Amino acid sequence: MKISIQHLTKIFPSRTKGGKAVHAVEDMNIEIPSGKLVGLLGPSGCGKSTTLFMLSGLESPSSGKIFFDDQDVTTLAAEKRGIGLVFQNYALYPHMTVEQNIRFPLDNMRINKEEGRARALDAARLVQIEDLMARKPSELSGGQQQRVAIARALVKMPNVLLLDEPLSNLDARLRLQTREEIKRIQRTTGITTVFVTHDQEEAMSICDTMVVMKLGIVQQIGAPQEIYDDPNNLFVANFLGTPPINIFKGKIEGGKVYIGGEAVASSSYDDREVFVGIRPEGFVYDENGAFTLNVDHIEVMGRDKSVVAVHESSTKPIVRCIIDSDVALPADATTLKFNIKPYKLYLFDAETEERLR
Amino acid sequence: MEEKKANTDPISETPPKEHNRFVRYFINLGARIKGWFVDKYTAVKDFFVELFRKRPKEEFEPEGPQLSRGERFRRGLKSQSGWLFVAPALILMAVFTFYPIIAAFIGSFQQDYIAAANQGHGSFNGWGFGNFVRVLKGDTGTGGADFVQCLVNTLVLTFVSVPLSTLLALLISVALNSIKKVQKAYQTILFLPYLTNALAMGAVFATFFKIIGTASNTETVGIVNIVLGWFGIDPIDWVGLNSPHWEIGSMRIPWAKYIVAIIYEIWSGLPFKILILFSAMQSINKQYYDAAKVDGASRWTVLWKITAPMIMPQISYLLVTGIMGGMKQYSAIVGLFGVTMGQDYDMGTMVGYLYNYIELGQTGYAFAGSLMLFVIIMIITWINNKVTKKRTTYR
Amino acid sequence: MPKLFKKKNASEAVVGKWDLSAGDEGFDAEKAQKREKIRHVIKDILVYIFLTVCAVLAFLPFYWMIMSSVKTEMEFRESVPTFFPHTFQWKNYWMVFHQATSATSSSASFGQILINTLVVGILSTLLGLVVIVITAYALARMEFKGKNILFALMLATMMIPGELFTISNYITVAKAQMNNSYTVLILPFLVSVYYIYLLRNNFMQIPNSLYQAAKVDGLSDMGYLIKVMIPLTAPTLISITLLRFIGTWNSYIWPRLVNTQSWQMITNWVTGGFVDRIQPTSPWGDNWTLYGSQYGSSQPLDTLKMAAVCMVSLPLLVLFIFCRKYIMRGVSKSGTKG
Repeated sequence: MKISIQHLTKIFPSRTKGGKAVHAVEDMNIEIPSGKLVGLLGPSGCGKSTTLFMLSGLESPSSGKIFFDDQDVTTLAAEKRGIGLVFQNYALYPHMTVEQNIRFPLDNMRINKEEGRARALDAARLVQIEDLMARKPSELSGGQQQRVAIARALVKMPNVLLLDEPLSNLDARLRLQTREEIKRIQRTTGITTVFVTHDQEEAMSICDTMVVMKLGIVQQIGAPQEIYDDPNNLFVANFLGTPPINIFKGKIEGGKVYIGGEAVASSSYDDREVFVGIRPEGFVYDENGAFTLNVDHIEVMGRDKSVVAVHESSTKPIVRCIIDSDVALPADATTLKFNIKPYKLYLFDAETEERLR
Repeated sequence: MEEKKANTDPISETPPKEHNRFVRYFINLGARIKGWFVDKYTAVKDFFVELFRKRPKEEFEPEGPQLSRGERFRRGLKSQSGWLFVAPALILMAVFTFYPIIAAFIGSFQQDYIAAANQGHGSFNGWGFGNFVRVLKGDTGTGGADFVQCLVNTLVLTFVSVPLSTLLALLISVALNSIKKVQKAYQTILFLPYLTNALAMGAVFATFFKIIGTASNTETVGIVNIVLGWFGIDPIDWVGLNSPHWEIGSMRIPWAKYIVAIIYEIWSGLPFKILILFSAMQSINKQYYDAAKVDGASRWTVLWKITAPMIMPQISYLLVTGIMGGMKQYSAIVGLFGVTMGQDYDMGTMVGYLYNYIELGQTGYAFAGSLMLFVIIMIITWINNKVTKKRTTYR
Repeated sequence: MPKLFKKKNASEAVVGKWDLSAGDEGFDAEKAQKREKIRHVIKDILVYIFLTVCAVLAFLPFYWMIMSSVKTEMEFRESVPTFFPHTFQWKNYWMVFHQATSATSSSASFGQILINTLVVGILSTLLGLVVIVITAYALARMEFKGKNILFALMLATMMIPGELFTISNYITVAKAQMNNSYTVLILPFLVSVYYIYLLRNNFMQIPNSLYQAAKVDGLSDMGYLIKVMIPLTAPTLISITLLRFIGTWNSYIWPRLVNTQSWQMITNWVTGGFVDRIQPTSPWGDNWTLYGSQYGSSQPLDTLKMAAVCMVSLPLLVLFIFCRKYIMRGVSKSGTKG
């Protein structure tokens, strides 16, 4: 099922009289191809969950349209859209057993008992909880509850599977495992899946397509690697990547990019103030390099080394450079010089924070 | 979220051996019985171990130098200073709670005990079950209220009005929960009857049902009778001397008064029930309703499969407290039917019975009646526990 | 591999066949939306009608009480009751104010009864609060031998209906010749096990680290109770105070048993029959009555009774309006009136 979102806008009226209305989502346009796993990514309050709930039909948009394939579902009630929704806290009915929980949607669709049982068991097998059918949710671990919630969403064979922060309530180890699990389930069923997360690592690792949002406005859409390598603006560059990108105040003068007094790269743009973003892996150690950093300390992490440095033009307290561990660095050096890989360096306009392209 | 089993991988858990349903039932039953004993046993054991444990000194005083005898005594005394705090409550309870319980047990077996009013030097006539026998037979020889009549009245009023008002409260709460505008205003108005004096409002209700005027002037008939008149029903003397009733043996079933009392009890019992049910509904996570909507549940399904089970603890709490309160009702009856509780005590309640005999100076009967009330309440509590435990295990 | 979700081939997966066109031919979004909206409006109207009927029924007795209290007895007895009084007879209140609890006794005026109720109410509420707080504190925070047994014993008494105590207490009071005093109305009800239990649980929820911090700061047990615990549990304490006062205001049985006329409480006063008696001290002239001798001195007048009921009930309603939050909170927690 292909999803297309056109000019979707959601405005919440202000709670207090005379206060400002909140624009949770503004003029959103996305095409989600059939059978893909799409992540809505952004910091809290960016409207990603609102978008998800509008897709589910639980929230109705202020304006704009939502199409499933070619069908306009904008005003269609949630239960008629054929969607499966997994809530952040799972919302498993505490008084029902796992089986009753999974069968609940089927009972509402008046599917007969036998078929319902068979389908519930299938769904449970898919998420590997078929042994827990007789338990109550309170007797399950967080990860198991998560699986029940997914099974309940899948059992009605939905057109679209929606997941709201599916991993945020799990501990770190389980999160990795469940991440793979979601990917596997999506691959197996081929259901178009949209999920919401604030964790960029999570989104990068499993998404086919990622939608980065900020304050209700879509910043960039694309494959994870594409967005990482080619961010549209300072926000997106900053939001993606661990360790995060280093940002410096700089300027372009006569075809050269300056940070402090040093020209670190060449540029074809007009002279102006800019933010210079350099990915941590974009530094190459060179005794005669163009860019000087004051070293604070060096962390050795096996596969690579991490130089933690300071620079007066940096907008962050530290600058982090990741270098191959077999590059020999002079011991006790207080300053190090680097060259910058040009494709790991991004220029952003100082005023609009948009990428210079 | 609960993470206690997070470390056991759900996938690698070995599936339990498949038994047939019959075998499974007995395995479960065995486990439940064992669990019950183990729970009880450990609770009791822990209690006694804790009670008689020689507390190591350092629990109160971390290691310090050897204390002088005087200091040790002072500290020992101080560690018991809690008694000083509970002393006022303890003394009051000893006089007005603990002693009366013992006295009630003793007094109920003192036959024909009579405490002269305002004097208290009672006399009695040997020990035995005489009080109980006479109370149950209605053979008190004083013209006071009849125990069986009072018991029947109390049971009828309680077991009709409590379920009815709980059901009505559930409906109102659901309605209240489904609206957005002026919810607070409705809630406040509906809560008003709670804060009233049961006796005073009983008097107001009585005026609704009364045939006003003297016996010779019956054309003025009160508001309820007027409304009934619109439907062609003749005026009924709901609360007065000519109130209709059935007679079964020596017992009177004053059905008209029952109706009045039940209506009044529903009216006065609703606010508390609405408050409890409504706030329980409000505290149900909205996500359950969203989930149910996505799952395509109809409004009816949501009410019976989601809302009702989730507020089951509150419903059973209301039934229990409602029945307990109903068994002890008295002032509402006085408000409606006067201090004589209807005609010849035909609307008497259990508690009314006790006070009737205190005022008649027949304290022995009052004691016996109060013990029986206690036993009846205990039985109802026990049944309630049995029934409600099954229902509310998921929390 | 589950059969329902098995892929047929790499490109085409089996997913649900949901008919998004809502059944009938040509899905008309606007029409469906309109239909949905109408259904919602109808449902809302029904709900509001239902609630309004309930609210009116809940309020009607109050309205009737107030209106009846200012009607003339003649109007009250009209065969078609008036919904709004023709004439307001405020004299009813004056008459009731100066009338004793029963026609045959002239010993207790409303003023006397009101003073009784206020004195007993305030004293028993305040003293009770002190007892409840220090007992709950000792049970929650202090260590002493036998604490658990004591607490268990106290809780066990909650199972026993209070009427069982009343009978013996009645005898105790009579033996001690304490009848007709405020003491006898206050003392037996100072301790409330349920409130002790409630407050103890409240105290237990305060983290122990606060107690340790206070100890380090050199606060005594008493100081900790007053400076830390009481402020932290203030909402519960306010609820308890209000509910206790209301409970005293509504007390009926015990005052009736142990005290005679002029020592009774306000609820006892209401049960009296209020008749059209000669009031020698009235501002309307000597030997003034409301209706001459139209209603005999043995015939209780409902309008006067309603005036009395108003005087007892309205203070509670006023209290409720001002302390709604605390009362509802306390009620939902304890489920008792006092």
